Amino acid sequence: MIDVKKLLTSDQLWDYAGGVFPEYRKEQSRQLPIQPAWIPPFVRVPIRQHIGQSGNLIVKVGDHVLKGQLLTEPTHGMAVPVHAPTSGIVEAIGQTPSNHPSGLNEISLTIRTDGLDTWCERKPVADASTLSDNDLLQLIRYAGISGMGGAGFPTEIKLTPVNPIELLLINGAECEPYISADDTLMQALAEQVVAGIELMARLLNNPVVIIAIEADKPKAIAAMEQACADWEQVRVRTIPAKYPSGGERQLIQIITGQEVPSNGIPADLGVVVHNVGTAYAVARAVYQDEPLIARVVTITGNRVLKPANHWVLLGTPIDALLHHHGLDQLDPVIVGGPMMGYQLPHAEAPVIKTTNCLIIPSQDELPSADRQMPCIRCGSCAEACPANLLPQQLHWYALAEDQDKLNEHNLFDCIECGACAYVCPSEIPLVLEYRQAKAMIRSSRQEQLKAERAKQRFEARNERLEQEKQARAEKHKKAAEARLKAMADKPSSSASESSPDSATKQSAAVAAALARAKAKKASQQPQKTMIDAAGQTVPDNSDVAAMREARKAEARAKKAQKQSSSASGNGASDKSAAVAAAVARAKAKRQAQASSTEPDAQQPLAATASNAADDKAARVAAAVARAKAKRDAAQHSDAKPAVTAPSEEQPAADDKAARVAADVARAKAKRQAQQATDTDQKPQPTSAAEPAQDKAARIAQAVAKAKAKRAQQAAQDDSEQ
Amino acid sequence: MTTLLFALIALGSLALIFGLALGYASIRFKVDEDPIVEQIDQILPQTQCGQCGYPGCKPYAKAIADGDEINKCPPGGDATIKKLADLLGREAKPLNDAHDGPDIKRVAFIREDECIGCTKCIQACPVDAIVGATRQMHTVIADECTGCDLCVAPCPVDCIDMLPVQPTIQTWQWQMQSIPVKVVDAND
Amino acid sequence: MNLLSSPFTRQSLKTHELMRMVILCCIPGILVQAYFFGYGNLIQIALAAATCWGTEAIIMIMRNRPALRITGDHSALLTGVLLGIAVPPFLPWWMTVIAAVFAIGVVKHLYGGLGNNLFNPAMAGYVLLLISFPVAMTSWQPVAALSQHPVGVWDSLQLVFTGFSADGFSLQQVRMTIDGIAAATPLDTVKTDLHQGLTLDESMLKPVFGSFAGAGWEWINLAFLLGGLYLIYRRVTSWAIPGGMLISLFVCSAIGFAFSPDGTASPLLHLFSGATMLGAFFIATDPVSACTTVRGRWIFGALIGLLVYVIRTWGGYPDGVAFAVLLANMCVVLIDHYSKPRTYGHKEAR
Repeated sequence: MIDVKKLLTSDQLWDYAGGVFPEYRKEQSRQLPIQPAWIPPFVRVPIRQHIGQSGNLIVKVGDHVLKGQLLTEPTHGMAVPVHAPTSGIVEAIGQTPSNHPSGLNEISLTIRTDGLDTWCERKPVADASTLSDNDLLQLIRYAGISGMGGAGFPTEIKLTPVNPIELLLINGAECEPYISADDTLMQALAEQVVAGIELMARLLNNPVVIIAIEADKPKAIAAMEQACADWEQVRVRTIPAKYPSGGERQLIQIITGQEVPSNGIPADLGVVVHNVGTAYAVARAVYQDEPLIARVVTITGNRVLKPANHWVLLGTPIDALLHHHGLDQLDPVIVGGPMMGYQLPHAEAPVIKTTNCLIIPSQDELPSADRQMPCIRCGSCAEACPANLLPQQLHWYALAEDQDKLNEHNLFDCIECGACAYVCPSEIPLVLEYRQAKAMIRSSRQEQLKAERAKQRFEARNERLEQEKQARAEKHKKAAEARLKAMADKPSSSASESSPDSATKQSAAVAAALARAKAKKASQQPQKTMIDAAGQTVPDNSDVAAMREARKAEARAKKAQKQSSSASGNGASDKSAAVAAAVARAKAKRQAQASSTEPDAQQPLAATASNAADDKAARVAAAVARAKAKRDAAQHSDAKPAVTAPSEEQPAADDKAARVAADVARAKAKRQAQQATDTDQKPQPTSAAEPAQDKAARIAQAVAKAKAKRAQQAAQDDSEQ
Repeated sequence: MTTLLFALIALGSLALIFGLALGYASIRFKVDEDPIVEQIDQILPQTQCGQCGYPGCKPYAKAIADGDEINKCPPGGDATIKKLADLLGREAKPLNDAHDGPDIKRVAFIREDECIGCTKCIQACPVDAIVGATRQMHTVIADECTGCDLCVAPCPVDCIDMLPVQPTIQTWQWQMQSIPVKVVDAND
Repeated sequence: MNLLSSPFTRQSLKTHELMRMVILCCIPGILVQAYFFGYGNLIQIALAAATCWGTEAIIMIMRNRPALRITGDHSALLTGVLLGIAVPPFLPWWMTVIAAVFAIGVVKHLYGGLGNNLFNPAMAGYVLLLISFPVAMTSWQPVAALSQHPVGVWDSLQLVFTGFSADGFSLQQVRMTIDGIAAATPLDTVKTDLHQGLTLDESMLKPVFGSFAGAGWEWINLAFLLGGLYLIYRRVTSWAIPGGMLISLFVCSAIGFAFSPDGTASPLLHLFSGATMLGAFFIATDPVSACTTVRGRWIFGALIGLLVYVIRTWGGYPDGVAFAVLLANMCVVLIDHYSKPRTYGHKEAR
């Protein structure tokens, strides 16, 4: 454990391995004070802006929302709500480009602002000591606060200590070049930041607090030291400016000399790290009852006329924001710092809780990586790596996609800080390679898990099928036994006092019957299951396939029935349609059962159809009959060669015949469908008939299609045989 | 003569001793199931699709162990063939059937307004990833679907589609597609 | 404009600049060498560099790669320069060409080109010659001051390309010192003398030894040391390999000298004679064929130092830098494997 008391007095700082010293370029953006927020014509608020799940939407399109109003309800642990950043009307809820390197869409609310900026009702707490810890946590949770340094972890969860926390580390290092959001925030609002830190410290049972700020921010250091002058448990530490000192694990090492275990979290050491921006948001949420709806964003880069820090409403579209600041060419825009940020794929993406910086560089400000050379194993990357990895080895293994070696070289301890790629003389995009390698390993792990689950489910299913089969066999056997017993009971009661040899005869008969039943069962067994090489029985799809035909016919009949009933629903004679459908169904069933071809099947059907006075009913019946006929034709052609020509050419002949039949059937169906509509039009040239006609035609076509498909399948099956 | 005899006795007894040792070892260290089958099964994608001609992945694994070709698994694709080749020390071959189309992960989707509730797809699904009952609408549990295709053919009304899995922000991976393209700015 | 991936900012030192810097830092050593041994080495350097560059360009064209861009990384040039420095000044031109073609064509590009070669190309080329033509490769002429027949530019060219100087002296005659004996390098001399039973002090009286470690050689080594220190100052190379090698060589020779001050060469002789400084700062530091971990580099350097001492003391050749480097190249993978640093947050290096 860490000797926290010593941290308050000792001047010792530790160093971590590696690190680089990029040009900081922060001066340009910290000349001006933080600029006030601008209300864009509309805001786009993604419902998920942190690590974890989104809450449930509680507004709908058209609702008028007020500034600070809850838009999503955090229903579960890792959910963090979002709020309306200003008043306006919810215009749309849907997929819009995300502020994410992928540029994929995500669900967000588009709010048309009304410019009034009307607050919803607020209940500021003047004295936080009146609140219980739990109330305070809930307040933070409902204020939508998640880590504002980069990762966006829900703050409330980090403030609910699992282990006893002895050190609260406030991260004001801001080691990335260009960014000065935290710096200016600390300069301008140190009192509030410290108020937030006090609240955090209280929730963590008053641990020692250390505020770490890099040496290149003297004003912020002075402001913070002044703000917490009368608080004993706290100390502001100046740490050397080196990248990536602001990384959570590196900062812990600098301040305490301890390393967070590889798979652990800082809480394992009794340390919690929060960003100064987060502390400010907490204070704001408690003392002003103002949820997280705006943040400080550094807008900088050579193309920006007046680089500065701005308050920006969360959800402000970045393109609108930059246009507002007089920028027209928005390619490229870098979100975050130049070391760990990403190029924004779609400029219309919004500013979210983790967006701390927007860089709009000029052409030559940031070099584009197009002169990649082979790795010369110079080892600069290994010297720069703050996690003490061997980046060039990882590079080789990432190229080779050697997952074992990548794991062996602790790829997952890489924090993607970019120090290795920064120093690489061959300009190899190392970080990109590691991200891809990590993604590859993660997805293959995922796949492995999924395959394992699929296997379990498959085996469970097989077991179930086997059990069902056995249960059925058992039932049959029992029934047979019962029958035998019933039969045996009668003679035995009558001949109960007869000679003992009759008894043996009887038992012999029973045994014989049992044996017969068993033999029968055994003879059935091979048909139902396939016995594989290892003697394991596996369900065979062939019986399923055999039944398929019958079921298909049934389904067709059912569909025809449904269609006919819907067709007759037009107000025409329901009865005759129903009759026709019923007849058709019966026909289909019979045919399916017989599974043979009976050309005369059409006749009674046609007769029924002709009996029906109504046109529509007749049409339905005709369509069904046609379909039937087609099927018959198809089956006929399938069956014929099988009987007549069992020669070698049979499959080919089959195939051809089937195909021809199918084509003919299709053509016929089409023609007939047309005819049907034609004849329809004659007696009923009214406009009301048209939808009905359409439907009928569609039904006929659908049936024909199904038919054709089946014919084709049959043909295929044949050819495979 | 005696030299020869001694030699014979020595060699014979050696053979006997080793024979006994081997015999004992074969009983003492007997492996229940050929572990190679398990290893092969581990590599196979477990879609249970049957496209290899065997009723599931395990049977195909056994067949491979018994000498069948390693290139019969379309869902696994070249990656699986390569792993199998590595494991078995055989040569990696291209996939046996002309498996057209790129290797994208797919998942079955039932157009629910067209489903007639015939349960055929339920019976066809090797991993029980389709829920529904007779004359009730069916639906696919997308997380459990292995994309094996087996439910598509049995559907009498063709209402099952195999849809490619769309990447989300959570599943998105840094793509190599973003190879730098030098765009010449109109300004210079 | 596509910036690919973070980081979007990079430090300025690029691979080709690194290579160029190394070549530039060889210049003091080359100049001092030229001062003492005449123009021969300049010719060899030009010849070897041109051959290396040309070989690489041809191979790149054969492999359908952008020849100009790839040869623009100066790595082939560096190989050529190092090879040219290492070979005797009046080596027949075709031997140098063979070594250069072998270094680039076989040792570098058969293994996949820049970044993939297992062995230091320059040293592999050098060793090829050393094994194939041992006499020619150990025939250094005496430093200019001691030479019977001083050679000019024209003489040097003639010697390299025809084997005879403009005045018709053969290489053997050119190698004669003023006292009429064929010259040998200081290391060669001390080895032969010690072998013949002379004590070190007796041997050191010979004019070939100059003020402390060999006439001419001591200054050449100092010049290379200077260039090397500048490389370290500019962070082109790190302390680890040269430090490891020099310390190890010093320690070994000091131990040997302490036990047998008459029978072995002194640490000073070891450090400032032969190719010690060139090897330590310019050859062993070739990053491609060296270790990559910091600890591994110290070990790698130390191994070279040890091997140099062993070969110089007991081996068949007077100097052993080339062999030592190649042998250490073979151990790189092993050393790297066992010198992995402990990753942040891990208990032990795995």
